[in-house]
Amino acid sequence: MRLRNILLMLALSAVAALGLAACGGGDDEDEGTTTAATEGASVSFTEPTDGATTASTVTADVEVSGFEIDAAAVGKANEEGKGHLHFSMDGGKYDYPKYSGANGKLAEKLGVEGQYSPSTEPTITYKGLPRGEHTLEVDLVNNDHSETGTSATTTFEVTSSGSSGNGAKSDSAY
Amino acid sequence: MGTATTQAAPSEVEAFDFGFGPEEVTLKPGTTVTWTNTGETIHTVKGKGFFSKAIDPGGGYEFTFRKPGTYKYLCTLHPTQMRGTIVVQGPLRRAARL
Repeated sequence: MRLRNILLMLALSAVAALGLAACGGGDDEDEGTTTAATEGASVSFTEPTDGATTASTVTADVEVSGFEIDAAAVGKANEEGKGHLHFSMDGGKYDYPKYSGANGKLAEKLGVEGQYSPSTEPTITYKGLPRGEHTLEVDLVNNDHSETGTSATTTFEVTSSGSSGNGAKSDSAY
Repeated sequence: MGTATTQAAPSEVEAFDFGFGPEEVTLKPGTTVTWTNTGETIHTVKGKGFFSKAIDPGGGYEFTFRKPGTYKYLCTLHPTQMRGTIVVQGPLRRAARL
């Protein structure tokens, strides 16, 4: 009886070991790849919602899951599931300090103004947007600013001057 | 022979993911350096007196170095990984006036 139990435990251990080995195949991937794995990461806009009408000052909020925003790691080596955000309004047309404030200033410092506004917070405020339809995109990016492939967009219409959203502002670096 | 070459012709530097190649270039005053982004993400070139801003993949940036000196530069987006040096060596001329 005791011998049977020992044999059964050995057999179960062997099966478990085989399973772990099968899961550990990630080491075979090419070295030097610029994209860290972000499996299970997602991002979506909570404000402004798709089709919303807003004032010329818009605070956008995003919900991020399965991905850690790490301000201290920006510009450093990539880490799985970590990084920061790039916001891009109308393809970068409004990603300047005049519109995206501190985030735009950082974009200018990094030389990417007109392309995107970096952020280490899940929110950003754009001021002085002209009336009309605008599309805001957010990308989850790796520490080295390369895209992870996870992004979201929202399209809204500015119909008046003034402020919209929750009033929060993102003065974060990166 | 066998030392770093001093070039009069335009010089080419590759900005790849994530580094510059060659990391150090030695050239004569008046030489134009062209950086080409051969990577898959945006890079920049920033040193004392020159700043490319964002260079898209496949894009490039040129700067002409007129004064002798050692110009260290980096990519502002990847400063810990991408750094390079341009050494501008001028002819040593001493005034002959007495």
